[in-house]
Amino acid sequence: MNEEGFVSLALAGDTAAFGALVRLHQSRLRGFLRRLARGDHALADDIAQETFLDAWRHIGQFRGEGSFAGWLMQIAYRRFLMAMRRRKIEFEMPDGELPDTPVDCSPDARIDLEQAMANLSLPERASLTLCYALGYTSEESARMLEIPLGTLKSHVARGRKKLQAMLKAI
Amino acid sequence: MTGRNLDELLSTPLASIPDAGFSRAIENRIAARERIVMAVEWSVAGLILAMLAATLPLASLTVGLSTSMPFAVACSALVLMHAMTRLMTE
Repeated sequence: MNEEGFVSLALAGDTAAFGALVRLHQSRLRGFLRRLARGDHALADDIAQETFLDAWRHIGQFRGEGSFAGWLMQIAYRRFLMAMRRRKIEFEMPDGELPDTPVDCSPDARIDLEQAMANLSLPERASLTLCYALGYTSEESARMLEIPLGTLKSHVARGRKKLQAMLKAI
Repeated sequence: MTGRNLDELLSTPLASIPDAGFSRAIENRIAARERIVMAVEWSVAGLILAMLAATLPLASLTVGLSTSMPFAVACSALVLMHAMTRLMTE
Protein backbone atom coordinates (compact mmCIF):
# COMPACT_ATOMS: atom_id res chain seq x y z
CA MET A 1 0.00 0.00 0.00
CA ASN A 2 1.24 3.52 -0.78
CA GLU A 3 1.32 6.55 1.50
CA GLU A 4 -2.04 7.88 0.29
CA GLY A 5 -3.68 4.62 1.22
CA PHE A 6 -2.20 4.70 4.72
CA VAL A 7 -3.29 8.33 5.13
CA SER A 8 -6.87 7.49 4.10
CA LEU A 9 -6.99 4.63 6.58
CA ALA A 10 -5.46 6.75 9.34
CA LEU A 11 -8.05 9.46 8.65
CA ALA A 12 -10.68 6.81 9.29
CA GLY A 13 -9.10 6.08 12.69
CA ASP A 14 -6.90 3.11 11.76
CA THR A 15 -4.02 3.17 14.27
CA ALA A 16 -2.07 0.45 12.41
CA ALA A 17 -2.08 2.57 9.24
CA PHE A 18 -0.84 5.53 11.25
CA GLY A 19 1.89 3.29 12.66
CA ALA A 20 2.96 2.53 9.10
CA LEU A 21 3.15 6.27 8.41
CA VAL A 22 5.31 6.75 11.49
CA ARG A 23 7.71 4.04 10.28
CA LEU A 24 7.76 5.66 6.85
CA HIS A 25 8.63 9.17 8.04
CA GLN A 26 10.45 8.77 11.35
CA SER A 27 13.95 8.85 9.91
CA ARG A 28 13.57 12.11 7.96
CA LEU A 29 11.64 13.81 10.72
CA ARG A 30 14.10 12.82 13.43
CA GLY A 31 17.02 13.78 11.19
CA PHE A 32 15.48 17.21 10.62
CA LEU A 33 14.88 17.71 14.34
CA ARG A 34 18.34 16.49 15.30
CA ARG A 35 19.83 19.13 13.07
CA LEU A 36 17.58 21.80 14.57
CA ALA A 37 18.56 20.61 18.05
CA ARG A 38 22.27 20.82 17.17
CA GLY A 39 22.74 17.10 17.64
CA ASP A 40 20.80 16.78 20.92
CA HIS A 41 19.27 13.42 20.01
CA ALA A 42 17.19 13.04 23.17
CA LEU A 43 15.55 16.43 22.72
CA ALA A 44 14.98 15.82 19.01
CA ASP A 45 13.41 12.38 19.61
CA ASP A 46 11.15 13.76 22.37
CA ILE A 47 9.85 16.39 19.98
CA ALA A 48 9.51 13.82 17.20
CA GLN A 49 7.31 11.69 19.48
CA GLU A 50 5.17 14.69 20.38
CA THR A 51 4.92 15.57 16.71
CA PHE A 52 3.54 12.17 15.76
CA LEU A 53 1.11 12.17 18.69
CA ASP A 54 -0.05 15.65 17.69
CA ALA A 55 -0.46 14.46 14.12
CA TRP A 56 -2.60 11.55 15.29
CA ARG A 57 -4.78 13.78 17.47
CA HIS A 58 -5.31 16.25 14.62
CA ILE A 59 -5.22 13.87 11.67
CA GLY A 60 -8.68 15.15 10.68
CA GLN A 61 -7.13 18.54 9.95
CA PHE A 62 -4.88 17.09 7.24
CA ARG A 63 -6.62 18.13 4.03
CA GLY A 64 -4.16 16.58 1.62
CA GLU A 65 -3.31 19.96 0.09
CA GLY A 66 0.42 19.37 0.55
CA SER A 67 2.33 16.18 1.29
CA PHE A 68 1.81 14.31 4.54
CA ALA A 69 5.55 14.59 5.21
CA GLY A 70 5.33 18.36 4.78
CA TRP A 71 2.45 18.52 7.23
CA LEU A 72 4.53 16.56 9.74
CA MET A 73 7.52 18.86 9.28
CA GLN A 74 5.28 21.87 9.91
CA ILE A 75 4.02 20.36 13.18
CA ALA A 76 7.57 19.38 14.14
CA TYR A 77 8.95 22.88 13.60
CA ARG A 78 6.08 24.44 15.55
CA ARG A 79 6.64 21.91 18.35
CA PHE A 80 10.37 22.63 18.33
CA LEU A 81 9.79 26.38 18.73
CA MET A 82 7.36 25.70 21.59
CA ALA A 83 9.86 23.40 23.31
CA MET A 84 12.57 26.04 23.02
CA ARG A 85 10.32 28.66 24.58
CA ARG A 86 9.28 26.29 27.35
CA ARG A 87 12.82 25.27 28.16
CA LYS A 88 14.00 28.83 27.68
CA ILE A 89 16.79 27.56 25.48
CA GLU A 90 18.41 30.16 23.29
CA PHE A 91 18.83 28.57 19.90
CA GLU A 92 19.41 31.74 18.01
CA MET A 93 22.63 33.25 16.86
CA PRO A 94 22.28 37.02 16.50
CA ASP A 95 22.12 38.01 12.84
CA GLY A 96 25.46 38.60 11.26
CA GLU A 97 27.40 37.16 14.17
CA LEU A 98 29.93 34.52 13.22
CA PRO A 99 32.27 32.50 15.39
CA ASP A 100 35.62 34.23 15.83
CA THR A 101 37.49 31.45 14.09
CA PRO A 102 36.49 29.11 11.29
CA VAL A 103 35.26 25.73 12.47
CA ASP A 104 37.86 23.05 12.99
CA CYS A 105 38.05 21.27 9.64
CA SER A 106 38.29 17.53 10.01
CA PRO A 107 38.74 15.27 6.98
CA ASP A 108 35.07 14.45 7.01
CA ALA A 109 33.25 17.30 5.30
CA ARG A 110 29.91 16.20 6.70
CA ILE A 111 31.14 16.59 10.25
CA ASP A 112 32.45 20.02 9.35
CA LEU A 113 29.09 20.90 7.91
CA GLU A 114 27.25 19.80 11.04
CA GLN A 115 29.63 21.84 13.20
CA ALA A 116 29.21 24.88 11.00
CA MET A 117 25.43 24.40 10.87
CA ALA A 118 25.30 24.52 14.65
CA ASN A 119 26.51 28.12 14.47
CA LEU A 120 23.61 29.25 12.29
CA SER A 121 20.35 30.63 13.62
CA LEU A 122 17.42 28.23 13.95
CA PRO A 123 15.49 29.56 10.91
CA GLU A 124 18.66 29.38 8.81
CA ARG A 125 19.32 25.78 9.83
CA ALA A 126 15.71 24.82 9.22
CA SER A 127 15.55 26.58 5.83
CA LEU A 128 18.81 25.09 4.54
CA THR A 129 17.94 21.59 5.75
CA LEU A 130 14.49 21.62 4.17
CA CYS A 131 15.62 23.15 0.87
CA TYR A 132 18.83 21.13 0.41
CA ALA A 133 19.10 17.96 2.49
CA LEU A 134 15.39 17.16 2.34
CA GLY A 135 14.90 18.49 -1.18
CA TYR A 136 11.74 20.54 -0.71
CA THR A 137 11.00 23.51 -2.93
CA SER A 138 11.25 27.01 -1.48
CA GLU A 139 7.45 27.33 -1.54
CA GLU A 140 6.99 24.05 0.35
CA SER A 141 9.67 24.96 2.87
CA ALA A 142 8.18 28.40 3.48
CA ARG A 143 4.79 26.78 4.12
CA MET A 144 6.33 24.29 6.56
CA LEU A 145 8.12 27.02 8.50
CA GLU A 146 5.08 29.31 8.23
CA ILE A 147 7.13 32.22 6.95
CA PRO A 148 6.84 34.30 3.75
CA LEU A 149 8.73 33.01 0.72
CA GLY A 150 11.00 36.07 0.67
CA THR A 151 11.97 35.53 4.30
CA LEU A 152 12.85 31.91 3.59
CA LYS A 153 15.03 32.93 0.67
CA SER A 154 16.80 35.46 2.90
CA HIS A 155 17.46 32.76 5.51
CA VAL A 156 18.86 30.45 2.83
CA ALA A 157 21.10 33.14 1.34
CA ARG A 158 22.35 34.33 4.71
CA GLY A 159 22.89 30.78 5.94
CA ARG A 160 24.87 29.85 2.82
CA LYS A 161 27.02 32.94 3.14
CA LYS A 162 27.82 32.17 6.79
CA LEU A 163 28.56 28.52 6.02
CA GLN A 164 30.85 29.47 3.17
CA ALA A 165 32.78 31.79 5.48
CA MET A 166 33.03 29.13 8.16
CA LEU A 167 34.05 26.35 5.78
CA LYS A 168 36.44 28.43 3.69
CA ALA A 169 39.45 26.57 5.08
CA ILE A 170 38.38 23.32 3.35
CA MET B 1 35.05 26.06 -0.75
CA THR B 2 33.10 27.10 -3.84
CA GLY B 3 29.38 27.75 -3.86
CA ARG B 4 28.90 24.63 -5.94
CA ASN B 5 30.80 22.46 -3.46
CA LEU B 6 28.75 23.91 -0.65
CA ASP B 7 25.51 23.16 -2.50
CA GLU B 8 26.62 19.57 -3.04
CA LEU B 9 27.53 19.20 0.61
CA LEU B 10 24.26 20.74 1.76
CA SER B 11 22.29 18.49 -0.60
CA THR B 12 23.72 15.34 0.96
CA PRO B 13 20.68 13.50 2.34
CA LEU B 14 20.43 13.34 6.12
CA ALA B 15 21.82 10.14 7.58
CA SER B 16 19.20 7.41 7.89
CA ILE B 17 18.10 6.81 11.49
CA PRO B 18 17.14 3.26 12.46
CA ASP B 19 13.68 2.93 13.99
CA ALA B 20 14.91 0.96 17.03
CA GLY B 21 11.51 0.82 18.74
CA PHE B 22 10.63 4.46 18.09
CA SER B 23 7.47 3.66 16.09
CA ARG B 24 6.43 0.97 18.57
CA ALA B 25 6.64 3.48 21.44
CA ILE B 26 4.37 5.88 19.58
CA GLU B 27 1.87 3.14 18.71
CA ASN B 28 1.79 2.14 22.38
CA ARG B 29 1.17 5.71 23.50
CA ILE B 30 -1.63 6.09 20.94
CA ALA B 31 -3.23 2.82 22.05
CA ALA B 32 -3.05 3.88 25.71
CA ARG B 33 -4.60 7.22 24.88
CA GLU B 34 -7.42 5.59 22.92
CA ARG B 35 -8.16 3.30 25.89
CA ILE B 36 -8.41 6.31 28.22
CA VAL B 37 -10.71 8.18 25.82
CA MET B 38 -12.95 5.13 25.51
CA ALA B 39 -13.06 4.57 29.27
CA VAL B 40 -13.98 8.20 29.93
CA GLU B 41 -16.66 8.15 27.23
CA TRP B 42 -18.27 4.97 28.54
CA SER B 43 -18.11 6.21 32.14
CA VAL B 44 -19.82 9.48 31.28
CA ALA B 45 -22.44 7.75 29.16
CA GLY B 46 -23.09 5.25 31.95
CA LEU B 47 -23.38 8.02 34.52
CA ILE B 48 -25.87 9.94 32.39
CA LEU B 49 -27.94 6.83 31.72
CA ALA B 50 -28.01 6.03 35.43
CA MET B 51 -29.13 9.58 36.23
CA LEU B 52 -31.83 9.38 33.57
CA ALA B 53 -33.03 6.02 34.82
CA ALA B 54 -33.29 7.43 38.31
CA THR B 55 -35.18 10.58 37.34
CA LEU B 56 -37.33 9.67 34.31
CA PRO B 57 -40.81 8.24 34.92
CA LEU B 58 -39.87 5.02 33.14
CA ALA B 59 -43.00 3.17 34.29
CA SER B 60 -45.23 5.49 32.33
CA LEU B 61 -43.14 5.37 29.17
CA THR B 62 -45.02 3.98 26.18
CA VAL B 63 -44.79 4.20 22.42
CA GLY B 64 -45.18 7.94 22.80
CA LEU B 65 -41.45 8.09 23.61
CA SER B 66 -40.60 9.46 20.19
CA THR B 67 -42.64 12.60 20.84
CA SER B 68 -41.50 13.02 24.44
CA MET B 69 -39.72 16.31 25.09
CA PRO B 70 -37.76 15.07 28.17
CA PHE B 71 -36.54 12.10 26.16
CA ALA B 72 -35.40 14.37 23.32
CA VAL B 73 -33.62 16.59 25.83
CA ALA B 74 -31.96 13.57 27.42
CA CYS B 75 -30.75 12.30 24.03
CA SER B 76 -29.38 15.71 23.15
CA ALA B 77 -27.61 15.84 26.50
CA LEU B 78 -26.03 12.46 25.77
CA VAL B 79 -24.77 13.58 22.38
CA LEU B 80 -23.48 16.87 23.78
CA MET B 81 -21.72 15.15 26.68
CA HIS B 82 -20.10 12.71 24.29
CA ALA B 83 -18.79 15.53 22.12
CA MET B 84 -17.61 17.49 25.17
CA THR B 85 -15.83 14.46 26.60
CA ARG B 86 -14.05 13.87 23.33
CA LEU B 87 -12.98 17.50 23.15
CA MET B 88 -11.79 17.56 26.75
CA THR B 89 -9.75 14.37 26.47
CA GLU B 90 -8.07 15.71 23.34
